[in-house]
Amino acid sequence: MILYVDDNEIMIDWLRNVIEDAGYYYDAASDATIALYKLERLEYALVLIDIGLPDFPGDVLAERVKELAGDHGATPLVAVTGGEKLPPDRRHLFCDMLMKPFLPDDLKRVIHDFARPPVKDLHLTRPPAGMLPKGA
Amino acid sequence: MESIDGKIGGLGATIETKTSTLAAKLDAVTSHLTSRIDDGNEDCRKNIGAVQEQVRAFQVEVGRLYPSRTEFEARYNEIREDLRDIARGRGGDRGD
Repeated sequence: MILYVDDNEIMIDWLRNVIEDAGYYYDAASDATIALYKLERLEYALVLIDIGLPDFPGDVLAERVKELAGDHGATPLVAVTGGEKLPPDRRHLFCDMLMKPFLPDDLKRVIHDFARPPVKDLHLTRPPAGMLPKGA
Repeated sequence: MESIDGKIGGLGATIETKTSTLAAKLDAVTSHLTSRIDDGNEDCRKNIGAVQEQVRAFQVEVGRLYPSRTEFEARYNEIREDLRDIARGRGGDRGD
């Protein structure tokens, strides 16, 4: 499952289609606090974080996620920016950065390059091909 | 800023959507596999067991993600404080 953190409902709807098309389930959080709440409870293959969140800047969320992960390896984080600037000294918090507007193929490349394989929790990922009957 | 009531409502809607989507898929898988048991396919029997196990795990997970309002509100406020501390450190607090 991939988490997208943004308060822009148009973007949320658009990304849902691309993420599901890439074979992952999709989850969304409208601000940094809700995102962290979810990240404490669910394991995500990838987290896309808009930098201009309504409560805290996206890099603040990213820093906290890294702190919580400690030495165990953090969930891959990708920054999504519109007009907001991500300071150079904060870029190390993210694997990559997507600039709005971006194409579906840009997002699919990021998913391909950085998303963890959906293997640990079958119930949070799509069943293997062949398990689903046609139309399911 | 969205109220905590609004956030709880949004979180609930997310989980309900996810749960119903998953339940529909699991029903389809279970039905598909069950229909093949009559053919003596032992793998199908094992797969149904695996699917049922996943359903139970998912139910536990939903319980963790969607607690009571009191639990949610308490943890929400703690998380907000943690983020505010980090934001103060870099001069980016928008938490109020």
